[in-house]
Amino acid sequence: MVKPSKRALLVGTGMLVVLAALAVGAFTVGPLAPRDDSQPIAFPHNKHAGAPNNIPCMYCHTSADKSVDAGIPAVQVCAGCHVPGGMAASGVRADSAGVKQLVAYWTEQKPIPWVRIHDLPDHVHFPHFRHINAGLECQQCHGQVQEMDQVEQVSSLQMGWCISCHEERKVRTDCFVCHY
Amino acid sequence: MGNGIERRDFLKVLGVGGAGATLTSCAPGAADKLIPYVVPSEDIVPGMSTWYRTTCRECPAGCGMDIRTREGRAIKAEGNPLSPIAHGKLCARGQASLHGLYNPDRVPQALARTGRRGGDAVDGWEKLTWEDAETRLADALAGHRGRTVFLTQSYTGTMDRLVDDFCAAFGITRVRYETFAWEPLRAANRMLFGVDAVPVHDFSQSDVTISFGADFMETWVSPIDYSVGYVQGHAYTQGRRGKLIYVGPHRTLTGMNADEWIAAKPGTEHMVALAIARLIADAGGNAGPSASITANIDPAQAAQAADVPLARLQEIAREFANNGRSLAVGPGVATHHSAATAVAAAVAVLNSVAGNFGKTVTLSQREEHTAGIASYADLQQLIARMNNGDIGALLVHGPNPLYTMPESEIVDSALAKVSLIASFSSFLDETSARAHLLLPDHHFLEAWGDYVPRTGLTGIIQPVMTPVFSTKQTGDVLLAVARRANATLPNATSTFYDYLRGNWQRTLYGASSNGATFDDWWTRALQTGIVDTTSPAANAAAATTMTTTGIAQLAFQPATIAGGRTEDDYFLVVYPSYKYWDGHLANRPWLQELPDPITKYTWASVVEVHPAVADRLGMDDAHFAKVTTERGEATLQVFRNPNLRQDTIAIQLGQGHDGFGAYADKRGVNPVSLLRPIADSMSGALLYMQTTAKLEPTGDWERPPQAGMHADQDEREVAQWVSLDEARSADQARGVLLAPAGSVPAPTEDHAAEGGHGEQGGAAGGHGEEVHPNDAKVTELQGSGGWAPATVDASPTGFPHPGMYYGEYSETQPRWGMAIDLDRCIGCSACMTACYAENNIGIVGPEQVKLGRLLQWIRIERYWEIEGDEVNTQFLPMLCQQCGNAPCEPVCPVYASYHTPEGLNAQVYNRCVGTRYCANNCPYKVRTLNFFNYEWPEPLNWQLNPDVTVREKGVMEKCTFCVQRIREKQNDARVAGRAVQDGEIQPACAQTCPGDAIVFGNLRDKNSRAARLADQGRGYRVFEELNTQSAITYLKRVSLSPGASASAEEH
Repeated sequence: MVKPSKRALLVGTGMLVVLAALAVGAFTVGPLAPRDDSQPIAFPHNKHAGAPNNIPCMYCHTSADKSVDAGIPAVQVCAGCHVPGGMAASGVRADSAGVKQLVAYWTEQKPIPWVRIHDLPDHVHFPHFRHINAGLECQQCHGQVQEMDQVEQVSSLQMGWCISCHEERKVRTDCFVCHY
Repeated sequence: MGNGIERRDFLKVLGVGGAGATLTSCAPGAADKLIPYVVPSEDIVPGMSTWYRTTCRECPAGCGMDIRTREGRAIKAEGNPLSPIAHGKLCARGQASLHGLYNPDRVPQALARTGRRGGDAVDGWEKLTWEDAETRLADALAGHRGRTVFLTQSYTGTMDRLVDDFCAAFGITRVRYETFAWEPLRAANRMLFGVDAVPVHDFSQSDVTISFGADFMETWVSPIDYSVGYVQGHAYTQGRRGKLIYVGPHRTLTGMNADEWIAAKPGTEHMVALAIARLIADAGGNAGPSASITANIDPAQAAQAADVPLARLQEIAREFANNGRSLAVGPGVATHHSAATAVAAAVAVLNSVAGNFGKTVTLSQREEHTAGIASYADLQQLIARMNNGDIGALLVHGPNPLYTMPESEIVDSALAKVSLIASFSSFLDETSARAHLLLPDHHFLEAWGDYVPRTGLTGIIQPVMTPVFSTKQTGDVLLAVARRANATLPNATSTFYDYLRGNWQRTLYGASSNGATFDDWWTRALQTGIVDTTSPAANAAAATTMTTTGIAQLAFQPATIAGGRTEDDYFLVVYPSYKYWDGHLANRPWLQELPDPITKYTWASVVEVHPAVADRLGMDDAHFAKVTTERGEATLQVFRNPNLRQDTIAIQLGQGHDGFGAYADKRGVNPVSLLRPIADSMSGALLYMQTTAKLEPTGDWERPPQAGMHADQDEREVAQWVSLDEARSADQARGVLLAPAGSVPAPTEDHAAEGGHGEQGGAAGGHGEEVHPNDAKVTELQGSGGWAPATVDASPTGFPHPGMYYGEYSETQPRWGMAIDLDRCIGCSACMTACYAENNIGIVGPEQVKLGRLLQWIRIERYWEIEGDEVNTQFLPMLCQQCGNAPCEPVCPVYASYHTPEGLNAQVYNRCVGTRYCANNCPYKVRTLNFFNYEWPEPLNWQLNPDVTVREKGVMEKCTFCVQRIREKQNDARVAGRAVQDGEIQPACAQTCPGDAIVFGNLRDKNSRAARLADQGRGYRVFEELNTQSAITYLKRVSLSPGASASAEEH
């Protein structure tokens, strides 16, 4: 076996470093980012959207059927159940750690800085309302959120994934539908 | 490679690295946060637009405005269709109002001077709380009681009332000042009719209009209202065409639109007007009360004094006597010479003789707007009082006398003698930089208020978003100061909003409530943006009785301009800028970047010189020349303009600021510094046209920051025109003229004519072989078992054919296209700024403009056809033609430029690698490359349209027909389960065009407005011979100039 030269070693090591850095990058921010524990409040979608509460998605994400953005609920929406009438103690699950965090945000009238899980590049225009009005379920892209303790991205959100669905449903696929 | 690493593996690693980098840039991970509202606003749905109605305050016209907001930020300004001033349109200044709102150079909060005065004003300011600032102002007013002056703009409406009451309570002398206050016009109307008013003109009812230097398309009185009216009354419609005659030494945008130019000698415009009036009277017209004036005029002598052939005046007199369907307007600011008031009186006499009062001219509808505004002479007196030490405190809101008055050194020393200057300006302009106390007002888009553009019509001003900075509305400051000083103001409230509502309840509500409760009525006013209490009866009773005894004191003799003029002296024309008005808009980057409609210069000042003079002095375009007057000198680049008298040079107002933020500071020249400080003895107006100058080449040349330097079409027939007869016969040949040629049918809205032109085939127009685009055929090799030539449809809707390499394409899809009527385009360039605002187009700056890197998606091409002394101007809006057979598409190596099924040439930014092959292959030169990442300094970036991608370095871009607007309406229609309606989709350029020259629509729908217009006889496509099959059909301009027929035949 030929002993690798010093230069090759250098190049190899450098590449490994680069690869390692990329791997970290890819796994934290990549198209299939796993569940993210860095949310300011460990919001359990399953407790809200899943049994037995079964809150409809659009109770909180109110504009999904009329706007390009589905909408992130205002802190007031959370407070509606958890801090009814300004009385934190009488709210739903007042004893849980997450609700206590929520009460703190609401008391200070500060927004909750949620970490974005589903993200599209700026050169893509995705109108939520067209898809909802076409009869798609939220779960078809976002997965079984009602079963997720922490939301994770289940679809790649890459162009091929969009196109395959558009082709299947015989919807326009030319570039100018989304890229402008 | 013998080192154990294969090249292929290395590339794979690189590939992964590349992918990683891409992903990182697409999804910046941890940094990307979703910040929700704490309490949602009822008005905001993320991702959806909310519109607010307000009133534009960029100039005194007061156009109604619709502001589009997204997520609580204003992103686009449009005209309010319910406003009779705006007609749904806005000019470039109105479009650029957002750049005032988001300007990075705004004064962010109340400040007090700590260091030295003037000069480098950013340093030496102490931040104040508003309470502190108001206390300081209250103390100063108490200390200088009886020695305080409040210098304000003309607010009209509620604010006017509050300021008057405030001044009364504090013993303040109020001076209202507007740079352009039409003083000679008002002075003449005081003498003739006893009203201190600018009339309201109805251009739409005039067939023949004469403008005596009035630039009503750019700056004169109410430019949008008048431009809309002018096009309605004058553009070719159903065989009928109005005529515009421009009298003045220098053709501005209005002048270049004129069918005829009378280059009267400066100072003789009134002689021309009176000579025409006399000729009309002699021909049997009724001179009425003007007889005593006209009787003293000898037309032949007047014509000689004005340097105009008498025969032309006789011809004009014949046309102008038109049963009240004519209109004379003037004078304009640029022709304010010592006889300016006489010009205004002569214009009134001319209108009177032609019977235009009560028809195209109505008086006393603008009294509230103009009455009592101080003149330049009044301001001179104020400056003198300040210099005498008579003024202890000066409050300034609006005017910038240090910039707009000649002899700025005297103004400066006067300001230095005032112990306390408090400025409410949003910006550190020249005057506010001398202030001790800065109390920045909200931008009008953040404020409550109202504005009265003409009597009986009130436009509401409401905040469209929360304030960008810690500014405070001046009305609120005044109310707070009065409270602090325990001064009692009538009807005082805690906020200006309540004061406004109270005032409206007391005044307008009663007149227009129709039984609604005040709150309902108020809500309705906020929704419509205007309250119209105009009484037709009062208008009918408006003064029309002229008493000429008052103007007997006017000497109707040619004005003497600057005394001893010699051969090397030139009349100096200083004219208001379409872009910067009097200069208070020079800090708007969109306006600086907008090529001037006349000179096409950006970011700079130029001196306009007649080509013959320039030749004599050995100067080509962009050579530098020194302009010297008895008051000063300035060195500027030369712009050779054939639309000038040879004894005249012209410089535009608005540039040459000292300070006023990064976008305005030290760009160009302020020509006011060259003027003699002379006020008109009759009206008190600053005489902009009372100075002569010497012109001297410096020998230097520099690449100019100019767009479209070429004014000659070089026989390429880009912008075409026909004579009126040819236009009629072409329409007749296509069966779209509803009345026979030669007659003058009434104008009609409906241009539709079903069928009837198929038989005529390609024989459209009077040009022999020329074929109308809708009848175009092309011979192609068709491949079906061998290539055979076949004749196929090459109309805008017939191309490309199914099966061509463009891919999916079907008859069921729309074919988006446009019809652009060149006879309705006045070259104002409002479309360009609208496009910048809508499409996030980068501001490149003057150095990049010099290199030809302006990122405009639509441009106004301005061509001059010169035949002897006659200059015909042709404007043509040039944008991506969305060719059916597009030269840009096959050359793209990465398929970034491709054809959509709707016939659009798409540019896919994320595919583009910036080869620029497409731009090189585009015959229309409408594609531009981002040579850099152009930036929007905070908070200018707040304006960016979230529906449009911001392009980065190395990406080619071009007009998309506002595809985001197409998608928006398509999405809405699809969700509602209906088809997109014709006219529902309006690209930003078409939306704002005052002439309605640009009409967008689906060409496959034969009943769409665009398709019907494209079918007119005047239709042609630019560079048809290149077989690009463009989607834009232009309609030829209809020229009334005698040379038109001959020129058109050459084509």
